[in-house]
Amino acid sequence: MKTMAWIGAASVVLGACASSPVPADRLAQSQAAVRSAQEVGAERVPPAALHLKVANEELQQARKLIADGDNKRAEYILLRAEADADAALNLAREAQVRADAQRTVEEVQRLKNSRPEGS
Amino acid sequence: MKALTITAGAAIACMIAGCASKPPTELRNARAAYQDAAMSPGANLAAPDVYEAKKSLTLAEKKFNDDGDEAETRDLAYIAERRAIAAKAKGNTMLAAQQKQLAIQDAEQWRQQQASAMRQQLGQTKEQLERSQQQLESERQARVAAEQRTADALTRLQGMNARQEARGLVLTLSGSVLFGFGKSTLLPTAQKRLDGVIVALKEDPRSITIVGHTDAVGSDDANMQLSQKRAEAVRMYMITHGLPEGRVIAQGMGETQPVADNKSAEGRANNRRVEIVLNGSASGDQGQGQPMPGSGQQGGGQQGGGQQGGGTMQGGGMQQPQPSGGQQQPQQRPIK
Repeated sequence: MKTMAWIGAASVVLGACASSPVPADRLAQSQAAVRSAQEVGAERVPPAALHLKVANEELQQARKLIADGDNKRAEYILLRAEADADAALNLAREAQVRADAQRTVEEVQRLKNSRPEGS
Repeated sequence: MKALTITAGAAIACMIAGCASKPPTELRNARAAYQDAAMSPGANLAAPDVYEAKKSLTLAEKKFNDDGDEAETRDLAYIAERRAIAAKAKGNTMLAAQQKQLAIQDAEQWRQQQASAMRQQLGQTKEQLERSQQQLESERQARVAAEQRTADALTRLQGMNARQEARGLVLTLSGSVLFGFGKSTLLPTAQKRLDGVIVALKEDPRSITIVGHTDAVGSDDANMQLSQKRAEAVRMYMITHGLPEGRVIAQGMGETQPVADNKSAEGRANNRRVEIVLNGSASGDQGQGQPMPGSGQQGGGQQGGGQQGGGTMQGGGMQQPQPSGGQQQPQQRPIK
């Protein structure tokens, strides 16, 4: 009976190890995505800031899951975090490039409206 | 066999249940987000990203079909929704960048157009300037030539005393040649003489003032009237013999401007005269009407309408009081 218990425990441990190792690469990738979003200033663009915040929360959640040994679940949460960070980055860029384009269009309009010198 | 049937039935029931189970919020959101991204104006510009979002959604849909509403189904749908949001944002970014580029090109094109319009305008202005300068120069040359012709013509006339004064070219005709004593009717000899003058002046653009003078014999009033009538007679003759009416004015100065001593007979003869004044000099300041020192000659409010040529009438010729206060103002018939 004692032997059976040992075999059971070992198989559980082995099974867990074999199916879900610690997702170190995934973690690094998600962290890099969050950093990129921060670098383009996602905190300062409202819709992007929300996704960035969520991504950070998900990173924390994933770290906790890894500490608890639930690597499989952690991997999915890290995928969520990366997707949120990526969305934050693209939303931030959109806002910036749009604003820049708008300024340029207005400047051109002003230039065209202003009378050329000497006429 | 019976057990197998039951198992199969359970599986079918499960499949039906799975199909019928409501898709999770994440999946519904992902579908909507994908539609939104695929329909966005920048979708074509971010086609690879939109395609990746679609693959992500397909994966979530498959997971849902296979396993129903599970945690991983929700994860995949959640990720698919974010991919769609990111793809749409990327398309919009590229669209905005494109618009900026177009605006810059537009501005550059506009600048070039402006510059070329400005160059063209500058060229036209320069051309006009050159043309008007040439025109002015040729007009000036024409005036100089006309004056020269007049001067040449006048020198050919006999018995004519012409001299250049500040008020213009002054041609003096002796009164005895033109009129009988106390008369203002032109003598036949005078007409001949004036015909020559008219021919000489015909081509000249300058305006002409005929100024009549008398000696000091007789009353001031009578002399003033006589000089005015004589000047008028000369003017009438000139305009009826080819000079434009508007070009000639007549003016009587009476005895106010002697050129010689009235005590001697010779002096009086010199004072009885008619002056034909070609006003100003066309070749000089182009009729800028310089005030003449002797502009008192031109009494009375003269409205020299219809003057021709460059020469302004006796510059500054407005109501200068006569030096000797008690004297009568010279009269002048208004032209027309």
